[in-house]
Amino acid sequence: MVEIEVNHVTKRIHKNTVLQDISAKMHEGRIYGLQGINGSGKTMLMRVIIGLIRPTEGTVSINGDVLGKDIEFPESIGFLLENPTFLGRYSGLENLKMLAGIKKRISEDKIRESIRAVGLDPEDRKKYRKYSLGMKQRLGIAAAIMEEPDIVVLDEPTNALDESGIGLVKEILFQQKERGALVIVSCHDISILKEISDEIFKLEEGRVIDHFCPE
Amino acid sequence: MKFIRYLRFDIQQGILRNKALLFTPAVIAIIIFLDFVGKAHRFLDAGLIAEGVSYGDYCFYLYGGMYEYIPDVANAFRFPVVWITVFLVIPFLLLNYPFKDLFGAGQQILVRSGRRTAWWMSKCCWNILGTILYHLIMQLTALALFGVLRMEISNRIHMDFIRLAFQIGHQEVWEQSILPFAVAFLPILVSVSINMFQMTLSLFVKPIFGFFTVSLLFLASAYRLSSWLIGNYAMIYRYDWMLKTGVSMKVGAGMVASLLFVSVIAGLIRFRYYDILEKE
Repeated sequence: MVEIEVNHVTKRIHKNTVLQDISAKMHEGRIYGLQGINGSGKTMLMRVIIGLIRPTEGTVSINGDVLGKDIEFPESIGFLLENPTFLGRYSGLENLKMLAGIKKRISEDKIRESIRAVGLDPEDRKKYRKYSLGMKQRLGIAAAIMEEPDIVVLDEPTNALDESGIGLVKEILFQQKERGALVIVSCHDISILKEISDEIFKLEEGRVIDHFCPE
Repeated sequence: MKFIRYLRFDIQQGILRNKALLFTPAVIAIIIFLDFVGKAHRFLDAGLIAEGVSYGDYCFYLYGGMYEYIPDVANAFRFPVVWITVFLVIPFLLLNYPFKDLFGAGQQILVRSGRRTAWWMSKCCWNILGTILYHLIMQLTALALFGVLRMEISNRIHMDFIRLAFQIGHQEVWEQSILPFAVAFLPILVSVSINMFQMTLSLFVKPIFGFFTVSLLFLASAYRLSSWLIGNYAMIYRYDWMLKTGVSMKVGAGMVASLLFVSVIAGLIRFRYYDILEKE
């Protein structure tokens, strides 16, 4: 079971308020969509939830543990933020093996399976630096889901993907939901977001201006 | 355990795969060696020195620094090119890796490891190892050249050469003939502590401003002989071992240890609250 509680979070960077008094409760087995234009605070909110930035005011708790106080990062999280970055001289498989080596929770077979799940070939020896934007995006998604984390955070996962790629992302998101993960996803395309999300938070200038469940 | 994995990653990505860090010191050492040998030959041919130079002279040439500058209209400040090259190239080479790592693949590793402390401590070890390796490559390249050219490999120093190379005029110096290990090692420790200071500073300001600060510190040290300016402890010539009015090596060792300790701890505290954004 996993629960995220964002409690009156405000973040100011160089006197600019990038998040303002945001509160939200999120539970396992649901997909939460973040909607908003560029600069509305979607990515910043994701960074706060991941633990990469600390709120100026308010708290984020994961199962009751306050980020930055009780824990530094969520115990079980996979994420893709903006542009995925891996080691350029390694292949996709080598990059994911290196990441999986930190927790040592999954086998190489599982890594290969995750790469296949996003439509890439684990046997492809091509170096990451030679990947197209779409391939980089797919590898980023594979990295986020391979360890079957409790929390999956995907920032614009459909960027640089074609129609089939977008379909694959939707399928992956539903699979994550089915296995009980708490999924947070942002997307420019409101129709996609409505299709996949159980709840949507609409952000504007760092504030949540609407919170609704799409039909 | 996570720290060890981090360190292994940093050594691999930030040192072993860092071609600039591996090749630049060798190139610098070769250029300085050629300059050193050229000078020695010119002095020898002109009958200004009695015999050939040794490896000890080369070390002195590398880390010697410059004479004490006394500002005067008739005495223009001469930039210590060799010394500043040796000490400013390394902070530049070490400038970007931690932040490239933090905004790239390292971000995934950091979150998966769950500990900011391990990331910072690993970067500190990487910084120290990188600096020592830089100086080691410089020394080993020169040693190889001394071996190939069958020059004297010893820690003997020749004061007649040093007097000419460092333009020792009015200043009173001790007549030394041996370069002790500790004397040659302290400049490397100063380099270690200053590079650590730069890395910590880069958590507060943009890394390039950290580099500018370090550059200014070195320049100020060259300009003024003062026990408060740490760069003086990176100049063998300005030690009280050589210059009678020079700075104390013991004080220098204490200053190096203090700066290193303060930098590591300040960075550790700062990094706990450091916002990891996409671009620094």
